[in-house]
Amino acid sequence: MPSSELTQAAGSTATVPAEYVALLLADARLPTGAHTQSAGLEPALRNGMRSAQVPDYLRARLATVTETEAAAAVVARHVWLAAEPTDRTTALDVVDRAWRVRTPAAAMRAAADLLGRGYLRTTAALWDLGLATGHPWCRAVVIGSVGAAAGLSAAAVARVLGYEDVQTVVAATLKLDPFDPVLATRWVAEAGAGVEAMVARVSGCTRADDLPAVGAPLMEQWAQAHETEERRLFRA
Amino acid sequence: MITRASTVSAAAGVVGRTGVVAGVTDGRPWLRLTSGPLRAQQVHARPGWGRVALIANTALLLGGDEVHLDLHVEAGARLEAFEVAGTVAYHGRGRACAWSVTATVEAGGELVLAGEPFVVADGADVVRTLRLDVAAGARVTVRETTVLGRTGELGGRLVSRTAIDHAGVPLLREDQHLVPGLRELPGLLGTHRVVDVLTVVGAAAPATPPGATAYPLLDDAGALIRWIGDDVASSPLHRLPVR
Amino acid sequence: MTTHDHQTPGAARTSLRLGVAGPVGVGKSSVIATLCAELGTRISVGVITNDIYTDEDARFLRSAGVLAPERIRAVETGACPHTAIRDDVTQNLLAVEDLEADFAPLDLVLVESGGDNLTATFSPALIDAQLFVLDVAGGGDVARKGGPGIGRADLLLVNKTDLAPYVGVDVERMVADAERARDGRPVLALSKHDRDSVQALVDWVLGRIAALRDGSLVPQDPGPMAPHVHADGAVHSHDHDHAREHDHDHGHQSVGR
Repeated sequence: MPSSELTQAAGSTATVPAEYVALLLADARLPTGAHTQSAGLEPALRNGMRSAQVPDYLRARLATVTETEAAAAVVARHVWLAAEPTDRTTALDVVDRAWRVRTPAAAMRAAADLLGRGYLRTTAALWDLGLATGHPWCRAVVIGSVGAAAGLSAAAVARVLGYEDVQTVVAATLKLDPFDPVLATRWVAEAGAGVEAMVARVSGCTRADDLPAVGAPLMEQWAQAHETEERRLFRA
Repeated sequence: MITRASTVSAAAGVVGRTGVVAGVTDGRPWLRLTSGPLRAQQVHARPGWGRVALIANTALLLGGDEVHLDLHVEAGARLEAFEVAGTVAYHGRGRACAWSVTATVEAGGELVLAGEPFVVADGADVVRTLRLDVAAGARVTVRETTVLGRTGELGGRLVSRTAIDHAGVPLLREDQHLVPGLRELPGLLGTHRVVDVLTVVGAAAPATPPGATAYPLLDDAGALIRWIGDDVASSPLHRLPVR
Repeated sequence: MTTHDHQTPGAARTSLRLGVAGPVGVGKSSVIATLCAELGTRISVGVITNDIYTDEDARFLRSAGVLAPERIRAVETGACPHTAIRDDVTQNLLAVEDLEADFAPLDLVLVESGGDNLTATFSPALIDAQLFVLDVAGGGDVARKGGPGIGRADLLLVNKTDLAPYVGVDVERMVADAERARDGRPVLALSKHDRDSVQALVDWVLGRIAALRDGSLVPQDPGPMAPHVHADGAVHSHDHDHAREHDHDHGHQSVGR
């Protein structure tokens, strides 16, 4: 298709219902490059985790790294709404830094940066988000900002992060170790209660200093090792 | 057999602070020591350094105990502090205990803190805190070894919090919720019982020994090197001389 | 507006993004190594590889010593090599843009697809032009069977022609089959041991760079859809290129002959 027919200026999120934007952000078909990510699942399997343990792996993530990411998205949303438009970028830099300070594995930060760039590339082309920065932002900060612009609640932003993480893990499991997709979908559905509990824990966060920082030592170790792995299907 | 300092009621638990201030005046290092539940004892040191052995004054760590260690290294001073023995957090009989280390290292100062294994026995409920405030141009090396359970035990509850500021800004915030029911999950600790960590701030980290994982800190400020395994004797970090 | 407000295809960009697609084992990496060896010292070149399971292609190219290792980067595809070059090209685009930014000004970015079956071709959102590579060892009838890449890639390479006598393939016939399947689009029989064929490939690539810079190069999508005739008799190639219907030839004449 010629680009002339498709090129459109960035518009306003105001014309799109917030719930619709939430679905869009959580949809694997949104072009962000998310299909190259396994949320640590590939290195976990490589280090001996069994596919049957994926529901426990999801619990582990929701209690640790995903909680931190979701909280960062919630705070980014709050900051985007509270800051003067001219101060937004600086204020969001603080949130981005706070997330990095709580994410010791450079491989995890790099993966979230790639996704952040992917999300920003697509969403900033759709809508004028008023964001400008010279360096990548983690996915959480980008999703929080888009969520704020689109009118998503704090809980909705956290839920997008939680759901997206769960689906990334389960979809990657199906790719690497195929089994009945109905069972996989059951895992996703059953993780919903854990996602909602996580959403409840982080929805009230408003300050970067408040971000939880619960680590996942083996996940972090596996992520670091995966970076230098010569045979891998997923980036992280 | 557990003996307690007679002045302390077992019901109240041992609560106290141990302090070490290291300074340098006219090129001569000096130490100011305040003993609490841990006795800080000056020992022979390398030239230009202050060196302190940390010795438990009483049986530690029981339910209700709160042990604080405050280290302050003034500008240009050098302090090496080391534990002479491991610490066991015993069954708390329903009561939590706390162990906290706070270290402030001013510009040009250097701190080495070499911990011995911190063992969380069955029934213990421990909150352990490490706070490092490292000025630009200061150097810090800390070794922390955590063991979940004595021989034959699974170990109790440990919440471990680490907060490192460097050059006046947050550098690392990391909590480990190593509590039964959570820590066994895949990606947390699984079946492993030992977490050995070497943290280096303001200086280049040593080469990462095989089996350990290096986590470079933000701002090229150093590294956290971690080994996760089953017994302290197997840890390549524990054999690494820390100084 | 945003952080990474990089150039998009069609903007005033001077680096040609050239896709190299084709089935496993036809010598895509070898073609790229040849181009790097021929062009790497004359113009500024970078390479992105998309391996399915490994970064082996990137390592092969680095070890071939034809280009500085930091100019060769691997992109993982999450086991979806089609997706990474067609429908969600985001991670490849980010990698291409990073290369272009890190080594500005680049003249040529070669993007190697993860070796896949005959149907994978590049989105014009990712690349400006694409090669589709076959080899004689894959059998003489592959070209005749066609497919979007064979039929409509900007250039079809029939590689490893030096092996033809050993695998019982008539190169001339294979090329003739391909030319028929391609409706006149160029086909090049290539062997890295045949100087003239390598020179023809190099000239074609340089010609694409020149075309990009004078604005005459318009990225085309080879498919996956075969061109077809609508009930009203109009011929469509499913690239919805109605605005250019009379300027370009792709897809429109290849049915009903």
